[in-house]
Amino acid sequence: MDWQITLVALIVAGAGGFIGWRLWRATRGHDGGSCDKCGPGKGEHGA
Amino acid sequence: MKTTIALAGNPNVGKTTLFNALTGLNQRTGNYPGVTVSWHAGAWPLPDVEAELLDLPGSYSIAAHSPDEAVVQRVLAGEDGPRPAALLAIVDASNPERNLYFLSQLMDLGLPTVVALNMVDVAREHGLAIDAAKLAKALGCRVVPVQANKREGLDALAAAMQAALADAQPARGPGLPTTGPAAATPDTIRRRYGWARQMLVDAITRSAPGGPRFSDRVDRILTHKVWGLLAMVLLMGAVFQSIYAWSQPIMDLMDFGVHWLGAWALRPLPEGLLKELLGDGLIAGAGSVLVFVPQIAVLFFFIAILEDCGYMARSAFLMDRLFAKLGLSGRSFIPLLSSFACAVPGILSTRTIADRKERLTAMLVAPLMSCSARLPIYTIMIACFVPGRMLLGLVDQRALLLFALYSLGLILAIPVAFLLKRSMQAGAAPLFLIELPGYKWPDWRTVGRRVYEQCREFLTNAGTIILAVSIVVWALGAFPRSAAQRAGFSARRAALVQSAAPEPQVQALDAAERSDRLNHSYLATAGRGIEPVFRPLGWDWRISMAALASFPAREVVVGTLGTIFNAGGAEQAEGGRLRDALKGVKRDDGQPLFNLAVALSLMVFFALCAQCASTLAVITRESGTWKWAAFTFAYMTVLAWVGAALAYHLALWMGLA
Repeated sequence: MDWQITLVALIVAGAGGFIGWRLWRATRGHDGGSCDKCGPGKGEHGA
Repeated sequence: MKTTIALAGNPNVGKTTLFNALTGLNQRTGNYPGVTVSWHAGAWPLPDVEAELLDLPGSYSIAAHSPDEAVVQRVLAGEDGPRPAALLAIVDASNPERNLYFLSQLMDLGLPTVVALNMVDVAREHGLAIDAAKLAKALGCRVVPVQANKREGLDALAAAMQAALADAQPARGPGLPTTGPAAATPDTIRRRYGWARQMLVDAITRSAPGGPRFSDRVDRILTHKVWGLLAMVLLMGAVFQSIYAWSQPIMDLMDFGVHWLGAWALRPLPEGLLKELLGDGLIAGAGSVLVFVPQIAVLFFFIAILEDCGYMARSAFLMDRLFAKLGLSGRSFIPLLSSFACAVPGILSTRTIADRKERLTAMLVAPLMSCSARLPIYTIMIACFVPGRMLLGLVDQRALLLFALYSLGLILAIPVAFLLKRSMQAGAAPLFLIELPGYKWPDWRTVGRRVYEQCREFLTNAGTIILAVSIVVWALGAFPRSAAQRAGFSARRAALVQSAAPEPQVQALDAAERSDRLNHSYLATAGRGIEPVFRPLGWDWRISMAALASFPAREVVVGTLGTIFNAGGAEQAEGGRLRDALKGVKRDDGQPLFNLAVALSLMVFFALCAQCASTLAVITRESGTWKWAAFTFAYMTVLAWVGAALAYHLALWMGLA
C-alpha cells in the first residue's frame, strides 16, 4: 500500500507542476499553438 | 556561413507552397490573406551554397501599412537579422501587371534577384501567355517558370539562384522611392505601373477572351447578396449534418474500444489508490476525450475542403456586406473565420489589419467563434440529452443545434465588435479588397495534412494538459478520507458478502461509498463555495468545478466531468463510459442532475466563455498589454453566464427539462 501512496503522490504532484508550468509559460507569452517546424504546443515559430 | 535569401511576393501567389516545395517543410498554406503573418525560415539545398530561405508574408508594397507588411519591410532592410543576400521574387503569371508593381519595388532594393513565374497554367486559362526569356531580357534578371503545387521547375530555379548568387549582380528597377511618403504618391504609383507595362510589352501575348469562366459563373450565385447567404447557410447545415452522420458510428466504436482497453489494463492491478487513479483519473478523464477524435477529423476535413477549393474567401466577401453596415470591414471577418479552427492563429492573422483599433476589435471578438475545443462538450451533451429527430425529413435536429451553437458566437460577435469599435471611437471601416481565387478541386494531400495536424494537436492536448487536469481533479475529489467512514462501508460490505447478497447490491454500496467520499472531498468543499454563483444556470457544485477546472483549455471540461462523475460512483457508469455516467448522475433530492435545460446552459456557457489560457496569452502578446486579455476574459465570462442563464430558464419555461 505504501508504494502506491508514494507513486500516486508523485503522479499528482507531477500533474500539478505541469499545469503550473503551462500557465507560467502562457504568462511569458508563448501561445501554446502549433508550429509546423517545432511541433504542437511550441508556439509560433519566427515571431 | 549561411546565405540568406528572401522569398517575397503579393498575397496568395503561392509563396508558401513554393517555400514548402523548396525546403521540404510543411508550413500552412491558404488561398486567403492572413495565413502567413510572420517570416519562416528553411534550408534550401542549392548545389554549392548553404542557403536559408525566408518565407515572408504576402505584401502589395514595401511601404508598410499593416503589422504583417512591417515584417516584410524589416526583413528586407536587415532589421530582423542579416540583410538577405538575394531575393526570390514570386510573380503570379495570371495577374502580371500588379505583381510587377511590387517586383519593381523589390528590384529597386538592388539585391541580386531571381523571378519565379508561378501559376502559368492559370494564366493560360485566362488567355495570357508570358515568354519567360523575353521577360528576363526586359527585367535584366533571371526568370524561371514554375508550378509550385506540382513541384515543376524547382531544379531550374535552384540553378538560376546559384548563378545569381555567383554573379552578385544587383537588380535594377525603375529607380523610384520604396519607402517614406514619396513611395506612395500618385506620380510614383503611376510610374511604377508604367514600368510594369513596359516590361511586359514584348513578353506577354493575350488571346481573345472567351465567355465567362467557370468560377465567374459559380460566383454569380455564391457571392450573390441573397442566394450567396442562403447557399452559405445550406452548405454549413450540410457540413454539420455530415459531422453527425459520419462520425457517430466511429465514435461509438472508439468509445467501446477505449473503455474495453481500460478495463482490460486495470484488471490485473490490485485494489487500491493506483487503480482508482488510473480508472477515474486516466481512463474516465483523459480517455473519454479520445472518443472525440473522429468528430475533430470530420470537422477539419470539411474546413480544409472549403478552404482549398476557394470558398472561404467568398464567405469573407459575403460577410463584408453585413459587416460594412455596422461599420466593420470584411477584413475583420477573416480572423473570425480562422478562429473556427482555433482562436490562436485567428488572432495572429489580425496582423493583416492596418488600423490598430479595427485590429484590436477583431482580436477581442475572435475567441467568441466556436473553436474545435468546444466540439467535445457540444457533442457529448447533444448525444446524451437531445433526441435524434429529422426535421422536415431533411435535417437531424441534433445537427441543427450544433449548427446553431457554431452560429451563436458569430452572431454575437457582430454587436460586440460594433460596441467595442464605438467605445474605442474608431473611424469608418476601411475599404475591403480581397482576391477571389478560382475554384478548384481540393488537393487531397493538403486536406489530409490539415486533418492529421488537428487530430495530432487534439491528441497531444489529451495526453498532456487534459490528463494533468484530470489527475489533479481526481486527487481533489478523492481526499481527504475518513477512516471512520471507510470502516463503516467495509462493515456493510462484509455483511452483504456474508448474507450472499446479489451483485447489484454490492455494486450499489460501492457507488454509495464513492459518492460519499466525493461529497466530503476538498473538491466538494471548494465546489459548494462557488455553487451559488452557478445555481441560476442549473448547475450543481460538480458541474461548476468541472467548468472552473477547464480554465487551461475548454476541452478539459469533458475529462473533468468524466473524472468527477465516475469517481462519484454515478449509477450505470460501468466501464467508465461518460455518456452513461452523465445520464445516471443525480442531485441531492434524487432528481437527475442533467436534463435538456442544463445541457443547453452548459453548451451556451462553453460557446461564449474564455476558458483558454493560450488565447489569453496570445491576446496579451499581440495587443502588448495583459489588460486586453483581462478585459476579454471578463466580458466573455459575463456574456457566457448571462447566455447560459437565459438558455436554462428559457428551456425550463418551454418545458424542455
